[in-house]
Amino acid sequence: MQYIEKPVHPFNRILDHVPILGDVIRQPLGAIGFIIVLAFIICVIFAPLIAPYDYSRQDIPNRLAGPSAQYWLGTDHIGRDIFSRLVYGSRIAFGTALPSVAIALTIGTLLGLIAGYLGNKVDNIIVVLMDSLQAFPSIMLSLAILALLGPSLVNVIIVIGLTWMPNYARVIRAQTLSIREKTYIESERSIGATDGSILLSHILPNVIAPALLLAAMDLPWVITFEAGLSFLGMGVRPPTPSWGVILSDGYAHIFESQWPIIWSGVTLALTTLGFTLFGEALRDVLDPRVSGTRGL
Amino acid sequence: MESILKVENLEIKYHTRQATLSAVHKANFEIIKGQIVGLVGESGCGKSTIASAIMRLLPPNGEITQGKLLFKGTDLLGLSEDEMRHRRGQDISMIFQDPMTSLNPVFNIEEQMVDAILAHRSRNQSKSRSEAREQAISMLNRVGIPDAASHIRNFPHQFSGGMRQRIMIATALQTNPSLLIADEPTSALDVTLEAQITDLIRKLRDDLQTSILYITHDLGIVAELCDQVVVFYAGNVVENGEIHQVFNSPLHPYTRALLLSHPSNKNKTVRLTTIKGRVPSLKDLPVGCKFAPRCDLAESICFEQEPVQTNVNSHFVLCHAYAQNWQGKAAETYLNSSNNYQPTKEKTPQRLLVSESEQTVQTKDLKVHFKDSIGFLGKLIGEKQGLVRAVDGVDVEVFHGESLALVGESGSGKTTLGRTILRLEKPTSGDVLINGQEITHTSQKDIRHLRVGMQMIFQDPISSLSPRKTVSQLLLEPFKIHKIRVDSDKKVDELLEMVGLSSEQADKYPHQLSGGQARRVGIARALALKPSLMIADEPTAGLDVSVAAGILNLMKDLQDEFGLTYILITHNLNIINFIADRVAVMYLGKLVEIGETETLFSHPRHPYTEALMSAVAIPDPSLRDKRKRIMLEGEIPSPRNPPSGCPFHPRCRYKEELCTRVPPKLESFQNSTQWAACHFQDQIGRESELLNH
Amino acid sequence: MLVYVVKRFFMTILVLLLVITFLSLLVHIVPGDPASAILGPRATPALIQKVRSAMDLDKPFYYQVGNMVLNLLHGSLGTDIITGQPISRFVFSVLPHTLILAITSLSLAVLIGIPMGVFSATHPDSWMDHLMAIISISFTTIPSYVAGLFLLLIFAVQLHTLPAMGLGKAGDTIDYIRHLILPSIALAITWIGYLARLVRTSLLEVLNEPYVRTSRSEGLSEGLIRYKYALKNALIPTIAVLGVGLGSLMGGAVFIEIIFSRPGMGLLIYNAIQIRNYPMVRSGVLIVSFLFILTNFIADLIYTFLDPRIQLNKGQS
Repeated sequence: MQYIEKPVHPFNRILDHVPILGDVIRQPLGAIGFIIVLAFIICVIFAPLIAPYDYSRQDIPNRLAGPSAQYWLGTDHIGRDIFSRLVYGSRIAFGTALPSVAIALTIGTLLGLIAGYLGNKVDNIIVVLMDSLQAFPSIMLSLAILALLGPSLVNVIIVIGLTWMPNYARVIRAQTLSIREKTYIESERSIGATDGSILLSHILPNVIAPALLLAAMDLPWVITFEAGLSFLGMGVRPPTPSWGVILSDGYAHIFESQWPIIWSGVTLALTTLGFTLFGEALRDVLDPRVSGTRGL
Repeated sequence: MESILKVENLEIKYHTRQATLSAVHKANFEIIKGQIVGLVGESGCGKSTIASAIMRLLPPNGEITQGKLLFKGTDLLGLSEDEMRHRRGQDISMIFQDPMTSLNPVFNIEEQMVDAILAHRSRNQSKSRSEAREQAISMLNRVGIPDAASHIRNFPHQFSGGMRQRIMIATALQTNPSLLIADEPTSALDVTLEAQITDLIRKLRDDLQTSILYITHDLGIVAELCDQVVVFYAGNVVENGEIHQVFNSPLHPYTRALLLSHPSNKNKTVRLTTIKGRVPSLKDLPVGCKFAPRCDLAESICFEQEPVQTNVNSHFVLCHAYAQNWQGKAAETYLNSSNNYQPTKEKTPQRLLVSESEQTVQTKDLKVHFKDSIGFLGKLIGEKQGLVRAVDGVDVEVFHGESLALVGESGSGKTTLGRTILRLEKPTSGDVLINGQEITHTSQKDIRHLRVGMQMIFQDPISSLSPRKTVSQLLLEPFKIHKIRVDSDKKVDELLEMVGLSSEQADKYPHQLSGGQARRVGIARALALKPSLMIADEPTAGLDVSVAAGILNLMKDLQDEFGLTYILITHNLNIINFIADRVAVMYLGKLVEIGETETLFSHPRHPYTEALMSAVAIPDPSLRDKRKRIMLEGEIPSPRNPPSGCPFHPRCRYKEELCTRVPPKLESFQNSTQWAACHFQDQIGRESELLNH
Repeated sequence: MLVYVVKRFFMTILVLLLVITFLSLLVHIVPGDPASAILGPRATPALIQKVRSAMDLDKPFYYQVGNMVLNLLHGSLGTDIITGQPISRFVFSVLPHTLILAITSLSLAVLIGIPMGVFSATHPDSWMDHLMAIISISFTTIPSYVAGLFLLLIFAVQLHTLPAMGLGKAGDTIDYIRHLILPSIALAITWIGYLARLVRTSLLEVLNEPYVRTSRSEGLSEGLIRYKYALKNALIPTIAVLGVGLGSLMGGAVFIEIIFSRPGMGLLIYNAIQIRNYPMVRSGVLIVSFLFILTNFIADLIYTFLDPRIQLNKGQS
C-alpha cells in the first residue's frame, strides 16, 4: 500500500493543507486535540496578555492559597500565582520542544539518508552508533550528560535533541532503504540521473513526510520529558516557570497544599493528550491504512 | 442436471461515506453439478465481490440488497450466520489469488487443515484429530505434495508458491464440498505452474464431481478449463453461455472486443483491437448500458435505458442490439472487418538475421553473480556465503531494428540480463557491447552519457514514475539531466501525443493516472531522447487485456516509426508471437534456446521451450482437446545451487545419464538460425509436431 | 537460526562496548571538571589532582575504557570516591528493588493492557471500543511522574489507605507488597495504555489479512479465528516491544523512586548527581543500560523462537 499524500504545488501549498486540517477537525477526537493545541499556542504567543500577574511576583501572605477570585488556581509556596506561572510555562515547554525536535529531525534525517543510500560500511557504522545511543534509557542518558553539563535550558535542548535523534535516523534510513529499491529510482538511474539529484529530488521528498509526522507526534513527549528533567532539578532552573519546576515545588510542599501539583499535573497531561490526539488524527488523515474502519 | 448454485437477480451495494455504490447489478447465472463456470472480466468489474457474496463474507460496508443465492435449492441469504458458517468449508470452499498470504504464517499446515476439518465436527460425526490428520494427508497426497505425511508439520513459508497453492486446494477440497470458488488462483504463478494448477483443478473436478466457479481475467484459462462462461462488465453479467458458443460466436460487443484484443495467435501483420475509454469507476457508472460509452454500436437508447437480458439459444446477452425494436447496426457486424495492420515501412525480418546485419547489442560470456552479504561477523563465525548465479555465461546478439523476446519463468535471470545490458547491474565477468562499443568497464560518468541511446521500460507502470513529479516534469527530466535545451511545453505535448495521451495529462501526478496511461508516460519518457535500443520489462504486466492491446499496438508503431531495437522481457508468452521477431529462452541464468518466433513455437529444439510453449493457455476452447499439453513437473530450482550437468535435467522428460553430468553447449540446429542447448535437440518435439499439424 | 543468535550476540557486545566508551568519553568531551565539581570551589589543587587520578581522569580515555571493561569482567564497578567502598555494593543493594518494581509494572501492563487491546479489536467501533480508546490514549499521555504524584495525593495524602514512602518494614513481605502497589501502578499506567493500543492496531491489522479471510472461508468459528489464529500473529510483534518495555520502565523508575522515596537505581543515580559523584552516576547508568540491552536481546531471542518464519535454516521443503 502506498503512502497517500496530497500533491504539493508551491502556490497552493497552504490551501492544500486546509482540507487536511478540515479532515482532522471532522474527527471528534481530532477536534478536541485541535482545541487544546490551539489553546496552548495562544498561551505561548500571548502569555503576557493572558497571565494576570508576572510569573515571579510574590505574595508571601497569600502563600499556598487555594483557588480564589484573586488567584484563579491558587498560589505556590512563595505566593506566586499558579495560573500565570502555568501560562508562562507554556513558553518554556514550547521553546524547548521545538528546537530540540528540530535538532533531532535535522541530524537524524541527514544520518538516515546517508546510511540508507550509501549502505555497506557507512550504514553499518551509523546503525551501530544509533543502536548504542538507543541502548541507554533516554532519561538515564540525559541525566548522565546533564550531570556533567549542568542544568540549563540550552543544555536540555541539546540533550533532548541528541537522545531523540536516533529515532529519526532509523525512520529515515528505513524509508530510504525501501525507496532506494523502488522502480522509479532505477528508472531515474536509467535515464542518466546522478546520485546527488536522485537523493535530493527523488528520495528526500518521499522520506521527509513520515519524519515530519513523527516530529509532530514527538512534540508532546519532548514536553513531558523536559518537564520531567526540570522536576528532577536537572532541567530549567527556578524561578523560570517550567511546568516541571512548578510540579517539583508543589511536591516539596505536598502536605501543605495540593493545588500546585494538581494544576501543573493536569496542564501537562492535557497538553500531551491534546497534541497526541491531534497528531494521531493527522496521521489517520495522511495515512489511512492504520485507522480502524476501512472504506471500499 | 442438478443445479448446485443459482444466482438470481443479485444486487450488491457498497456503502461509503460519500455514497452508496452499486457493485453488482441484477446478476443471474447458474452452476450445474460437476461444471466449471468461468467468471471473466477486467479488474474492478465486481468478480471478487460476487465470490465474497456467495460465501457471505462481504466487507462490513458491503450489502446484498436484493436477489437470491440458491444453493441446492436453499437460499443462502436466508440462513443464520451459524448455519452459514457450517456451509463454508463444508459445502462451499474457496481458494484465493495469492498463496503466499492466504495461509496463516505462524501455524503449521497440519494445524490449519485439521482445524478446518474439525470446524464441521458436528456434521462429520465425532472425528478425532488423528483421523482428521489422516484425511488431510490423503488430500495432500492427492494434490501432489510429495511425501505429505512428513511435510504436514511444516510451516507455509517452507513451501514454494506452487506448493502453497496446492495446499490451499487440498484444504478447500478435503471436506469434499459441492462447490469450489477459485478466485484468480493462478494469477500469481508462472505459466508452467499455472498449467500444473489448472490441470490439477480439472482432474479433481473429474474425480470428485465438484462444481467450480472459476474467477479470472485470463481468457486463455477460461478456454482451457471452463464449460460455461459468465462475462462481467461494471457489475453486470453482459453475456452468459456455453463455452464454445461464447468463444465462437460472442454476442455482446464487449465480449467480441475482449476476444479480439487478445494477442495470442496473432502474428506481426495484424493490429490488436482496442476498446476506447476505460472501465468506469463504481463512483460514476453511466446511466443505461454500462458499456455504451465505449461501444461503437451505441445508439441513443443505450445511453438512456438499461438493456434487458435476451436469450439467444440459451445463450444470454445484455444488449439493446438484440431487442426486437433495435434499429442500429446489427451486433454481429461489430468489429467484423478485422483491421489489418499496415506497417509504415516494409520490414523483412528474415534479412535481419543474416550475420552481417548490424548488431545493436552483443554479450560475450556474460555472467552476473550475486553474493550474499554476510558481513564481517558472518565471516568470523564461518557462515557460508551463498552465491546466486543470476546470469551464468550468456552469449546473445540483438540486431538493429529487431525485437527479441527474452522469456523464462521467474528466477531464470531474464530481468538481470536486461538490466546488465543497460549497465544498471555490473557484470561479474564477460562483456556487453552496444553498437560495437564495449561498455562493461566504462566509468559511471561515461555510462550516463551513453544512456541517451538506450532506455528501459520498467515493469510496474505507476511505481516506475517518481511519485512527487508531474507528468510534464517527468517527461522533461531526461532533457534536464543531459542538458539539452528544449521548448518545454511544446516538447511535452509532442511526447504525449506520440504515445496517444492528451496534453491534459501533463499536470497530473503518477497516482492520478490509470495503469495504461502511466505505462504510456513511461514509454514517452524512455523515448524522449530518441534512443536506438529499448528494453521493456514485462510491458503488459498488470494491465487488462484491452489496455495491454493498446500498449502493444503503440510499441509496434513506435518501432516502425523510429527503427527501434526492442528487447522484451516477459513471461507472458501470449504476446511474443505478436511482437517478437526472435525469442531467447532462459533457464537458471543460461540461454537454452534462441531462434525465430514462429520456428520456436512450432519446432522447439529444447525440452524447456517445448514445455513452455505448450503451457500457454490459448483462448480457443476448440483446441483444448486437440492440443496435447506437456506438463512440466516441479518448479524451477533455486539458482543458489543449480543442478549439475544440464540445469534442466531434473524436470526433463528426455533426460539421459549424460545430461546429469555434462552441461550441453548452445548449438545451431542443422546450421539454421535456431540454436539450442540440448544434447538431444534433434529428438525434441516429434510428437508435438504431429499434434500441431 | 544459530547464525542469527550469534550475530545478535556479537552486536549486543559491541553495543555494550560502545556504551562504556561513550560514558567514559563524556567526561572528556563535556566542558567542566568532575573532580572540582565534587570537591567544591575551596578544594586545593593537590586534592583535586588526587581525586582526578583516583577517577582515572588524568589518563587517556581508552585507558579508562580498558580499565572499566577489566573491572567489569571481575565483577567490579570501581571504588566510590566519597566513601571508599566498592560501587558495586551500593548498586547491588538497590538493584533488586528497581527490578521488582519494573517487572511488577510490566506484568500489570501485560495483564491489563493486552486484554483491553484484544477486546477493542474484536469489538471495533462499539461504545466499549471508544471508551477503551479514550482510556488508553489518556493513559499513554499521562507522564509517569504526574501519575505518581496524583496517586500519592489521593491514596497516601488524602485517603491514607496505602503507604507511600520507602520500602516498608525490613523482612515484612506483606508490607513490602503494600509499598509496591502505588509505585508500580504509577509506572505501569503509560504502558497499559500503550500495550492496549498496540495490540488493538496489530490485531485489527491481522484480522484484515488474507489468511484470516481463508480461515473464514473454511468455516472456522469466529472464536477460533480471533483467539487462536489471529491473536498469535498479533502478539508475536508485541513480544519484541516488551523487551524495550522492561528497559524503559527501569529508566522511568527514576521518577517513581524519587517521588515515593523508594531505594533503587533511579534514586541512587539521582542522589549521586546531587553531589556530583560522577563515577557513581556513570556506573549506575551503565548497569541500567546493560539491563536494557540484555532484556532487548532476550526479547529478540524469544521473538525469533516464536515466529517460525525467522528459522530460515531449518529444513526447506
